[in-house]
Amino acid sequence: MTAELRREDGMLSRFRVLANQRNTLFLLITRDLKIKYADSKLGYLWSVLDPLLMAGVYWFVFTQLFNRGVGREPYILFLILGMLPWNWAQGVLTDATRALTADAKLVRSSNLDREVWVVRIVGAKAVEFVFSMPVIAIIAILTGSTPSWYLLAFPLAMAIQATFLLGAALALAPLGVLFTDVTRVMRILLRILFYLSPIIYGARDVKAKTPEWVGFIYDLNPLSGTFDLYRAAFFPRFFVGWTEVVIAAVVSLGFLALGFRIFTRLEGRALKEL
Amino acid sequence: MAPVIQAEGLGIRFQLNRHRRKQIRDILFRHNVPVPKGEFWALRDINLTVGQGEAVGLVGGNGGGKSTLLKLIAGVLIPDEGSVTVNGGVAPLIEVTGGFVGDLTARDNITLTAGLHGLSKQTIAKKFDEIVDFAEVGDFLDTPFRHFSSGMKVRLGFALVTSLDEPIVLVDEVLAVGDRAFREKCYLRMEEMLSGGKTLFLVSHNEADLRRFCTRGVYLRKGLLAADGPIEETLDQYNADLDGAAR
Repeated sequence: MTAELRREDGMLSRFRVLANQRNTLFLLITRDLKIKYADSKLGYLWSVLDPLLMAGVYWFVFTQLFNRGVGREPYILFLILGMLPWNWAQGVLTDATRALTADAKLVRSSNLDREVWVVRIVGAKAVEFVFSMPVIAIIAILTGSTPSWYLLAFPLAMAIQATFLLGAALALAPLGVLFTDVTRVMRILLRILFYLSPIIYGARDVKAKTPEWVGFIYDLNPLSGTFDLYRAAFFPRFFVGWTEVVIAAVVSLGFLALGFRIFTRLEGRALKEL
Repeated sequence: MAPVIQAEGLGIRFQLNRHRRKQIRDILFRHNVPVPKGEFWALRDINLTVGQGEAVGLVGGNGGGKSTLLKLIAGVLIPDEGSVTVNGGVAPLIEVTGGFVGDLTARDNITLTAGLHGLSKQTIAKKFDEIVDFAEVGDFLDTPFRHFSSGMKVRLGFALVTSLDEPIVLVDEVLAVGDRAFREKCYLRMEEMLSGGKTLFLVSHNEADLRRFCTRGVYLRKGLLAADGPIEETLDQYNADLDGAAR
């Protein structure tokens, strides 16, 4: 019933359709988590192990080997507050290119709105991110850090990040079907994005060390204001500022609008290739 | 009779001679992007009105567009031309095993896939035993789906999709698999659905099946609607075409 009307529908009405399918979405996300944790009781450990290990490595490199001029103490907490949301972003942007192909048979045999397959990835990875938050608490306790009021802004940062990721993933999903090397290109882009986001350093460091115009371009990365907002929960005096957060939110909304357009445009062509 | 399915000038085209899919590389580093050699219309100018309770058999040779038409009705392909309007939910018996995940148990698979097809939790709980009985997989509920035999997989898929209770049922060749005992059960189930007033679309190369279930025949030849009428007449014309080609 929805199938014929949907192509001409605007973004908002398609959102409404998606909202009606939240049960399905919930099911798919549970299914993803179930599959992930079906075989190993260590499933949870696996999902936090990667960012933890990487944080450990960066901590070693930047506190023991290099003379670090960026970030704040305790650096391990500083790192983990960047690594965990990054893990969410990386997971979504990697999997999004396979959003339609990974479950091609299911996509071909059920007439759900195809956006569901994309939203589901953003959602499942978001749940993993939430599950990984106790790690932040543990490290905060171990390092004797206390949270600031900015901790209340965590959901806001998550909402902005989810908006950006959803937009990017909506564009990537059909592109991943139509072009075979999108996955490979994404891997390169992700490595670049990692160093261009405030993970091993803070957004304030960029402002302090580079000309103003570099800082402005830097703010256009929707992850930069967002990650700094997460971090403000424990490093309030190092927070880059609300202007940057607003820029991140606006750019994220732009990504979402563009992602929806690309998805709607290419959906039909991508379905033929499944 | 109110139309349940209405196709108007329906058409969809696919690319021809595409040996491999495009790469971003081609666009970036080559000025002559490989232009697809051509396109062909898998379906074109299809006008069709189907009323509630009709049983339509799709007839035609391989590549005639039968499965493509079913997919367009099911909404899993989007037309390039024209439109197809479907009033009511569709139970697609297309790739019935597609929704199942090898690593999960049959139990998990039933709840998840039924949910994906839009059944509520309560309905699933109510129908669970019925599905399991019909598929005869009662002893294997906690076995990972990948350990199922292909017959069991199809049985479970058929049992699940036919229990969806949607007003429109699309059947694509699933009757070809399964042993005779199960086929008989499937026949019974389909007859039940028909007498329950459901609209049926059946793709089959088996004339006996088509004659048994369908009253109306639609003959697709190279993507065009070649005939649409009582099933006997359509089959006669199809056979006449085949004989003509053979001679």
